[in-house]
Amino acid sequence: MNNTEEVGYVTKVRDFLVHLDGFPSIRVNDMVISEKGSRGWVNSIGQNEIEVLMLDEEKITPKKLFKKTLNRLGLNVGNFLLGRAINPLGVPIDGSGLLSKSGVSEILELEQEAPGIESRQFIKQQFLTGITLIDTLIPLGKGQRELVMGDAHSGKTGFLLDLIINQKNTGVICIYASIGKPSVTVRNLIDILKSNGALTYTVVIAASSSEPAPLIYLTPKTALTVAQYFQKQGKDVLLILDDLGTHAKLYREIALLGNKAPGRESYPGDIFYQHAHLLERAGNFLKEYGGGSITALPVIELGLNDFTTIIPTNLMSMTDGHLLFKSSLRAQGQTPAIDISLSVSRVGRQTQDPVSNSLSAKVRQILSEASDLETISRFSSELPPETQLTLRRKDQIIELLKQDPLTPTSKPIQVILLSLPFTSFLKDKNRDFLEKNRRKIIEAFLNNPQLVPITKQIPTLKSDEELIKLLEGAGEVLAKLCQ
Amino acid sequence: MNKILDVILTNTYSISQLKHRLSLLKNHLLKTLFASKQELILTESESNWLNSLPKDFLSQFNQNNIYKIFEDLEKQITSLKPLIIYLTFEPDDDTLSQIGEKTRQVFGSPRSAGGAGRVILLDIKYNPALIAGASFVWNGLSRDYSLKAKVEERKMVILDSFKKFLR
Repeated sequence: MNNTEEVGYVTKVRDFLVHLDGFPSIRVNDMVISEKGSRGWVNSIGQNEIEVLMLDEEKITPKKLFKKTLNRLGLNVGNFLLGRAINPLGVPIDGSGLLSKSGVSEILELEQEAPGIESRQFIKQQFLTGITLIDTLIPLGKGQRELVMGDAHSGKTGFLLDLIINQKNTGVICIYASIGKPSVTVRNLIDILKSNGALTYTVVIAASSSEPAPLIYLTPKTALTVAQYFQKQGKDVLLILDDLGTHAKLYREIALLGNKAPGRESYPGDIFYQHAHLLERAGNFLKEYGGGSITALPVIELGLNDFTTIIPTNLMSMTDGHLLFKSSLRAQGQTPAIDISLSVSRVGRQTQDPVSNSLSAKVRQILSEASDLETISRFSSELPPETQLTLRRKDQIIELLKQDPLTPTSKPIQVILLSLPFTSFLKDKNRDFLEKNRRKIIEAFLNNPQLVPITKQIPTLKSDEELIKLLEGAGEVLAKLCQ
Repeated sequence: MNKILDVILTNTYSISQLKHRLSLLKNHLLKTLFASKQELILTESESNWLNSLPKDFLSQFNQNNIYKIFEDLEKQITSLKPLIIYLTFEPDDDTLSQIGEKTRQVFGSPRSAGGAGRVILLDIKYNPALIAGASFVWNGLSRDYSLKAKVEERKMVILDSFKKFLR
């Protein structure tokens, strides 16, 4: 008869943090369960006691018995997760019944060491978002980690949803981790994805704000575990962690409760490790290691647009660039409300084709020149024609970069739009003209029999000069259409 | 200090019994040493136990060391690791002594018998859900010899045999 189980008794309780004795051979990340079925996971091990974080709510008192479970902290993964919303422990939360674990399913541990350098390869492929501003000026690569930050109501979530929806028919698997957001927000998110047909290739992992802090804390770990499962199948994965600011606050709560010494802004000393350890798991991998990629977009909400606090700066230092959203830009009607001058992509440019690359350099130059000239122009009424042209081009570019939600733009159209300000067609046109005719121009390049050949020719071009020359030929047709 | 605890543990088998007897001994000694007028009301088994303590054992305590000795004893007790037994009934003193003696015979190695000084102390817990039998916890390892565990183990077989009678 071998019915020996490892057990322990509660010695101390502090909210969701429980200290237990016993458990002679327990390891970190093992799971324990109370007699009433509440689960907890082992966070640290002391000389005589272990520290357990409770994942279910139960009134725990000293002397209560806990048993070690057979499973460690992990979840069942498989293709059955696609189109579903689960909590960090793999329990479905979308009301669509149990997960159908038919076919091959395996249990993966949530805590995994990031794959080493031997398993990674250079990021060579561009991750197309369908958003002109990103794909041309701040391009992302497959396997890149790009921080998305901005203040409240600056359109971050809408942008992220667009990003997922725009991945339709690209084969990219999207994983959205909603960390400590209200249940109603999660519900809305699932509904939007469903109504736009994006849920079929998406996995939503969510722990709402009403759940115990340790469970919410596990959300990004689960998201990365699921992402790694798909990456190992050779798939390109887009992972959104919304948001790591809440995650850091919850970890601070857990750490302070566990008597860990507080550091800057009361965050524990290992908060950098916690986030770096997570984001390190993203990347572009060699075929021998699955061959897929994980493009990670951690999100952080800023207070009063201040990105110099500890968590945003930490995240900026461990990602390959950042997109800065501003509510003031959104109020001016710019969507997506990304501050181009303060946003950066350290990897994406190497993945862009030469035409887009030189074109985006040109556009950036105009934008930076114009911002210098704008200050001067405020003091003088009569400006030289060159200055006027630069300022007009800047206005045109800003207008062309505006993109309404749920309107993905294909790569050739993005390139055409950004080249137009350099053609004679737009030389004397103002912002209002473009505001009125932007949609018409896009439609024309997609459907007009005279312009479609130009659109088709874009991928074969070798330089931006060639492109501008080609577009000069479209001037007449466009002028007629925009009368 | 170990000698004092050893003497107390000679015929004390459970944690709750040990705590009760320590408090009894303390009250008795305080009354004796400080000539308190307050009467101690003792049951027969309590006075029997106090009388069974050797005279030279009681003479170790004096007005200067009594508080210190008991403070140390209490600390020692908290570090003791008992054998936890879950039973479906509350054992009386005689049953407890029988269980305790048997446990010490089988697993203990008291110093008086030339052993390493391991005196098994029991922590009896009441759990009627076990139905019958007992379960044990020692050093973080649990073994369940209860009827409940047996039923759980053969749940499907039992259910199947019940199903035969369903119409």
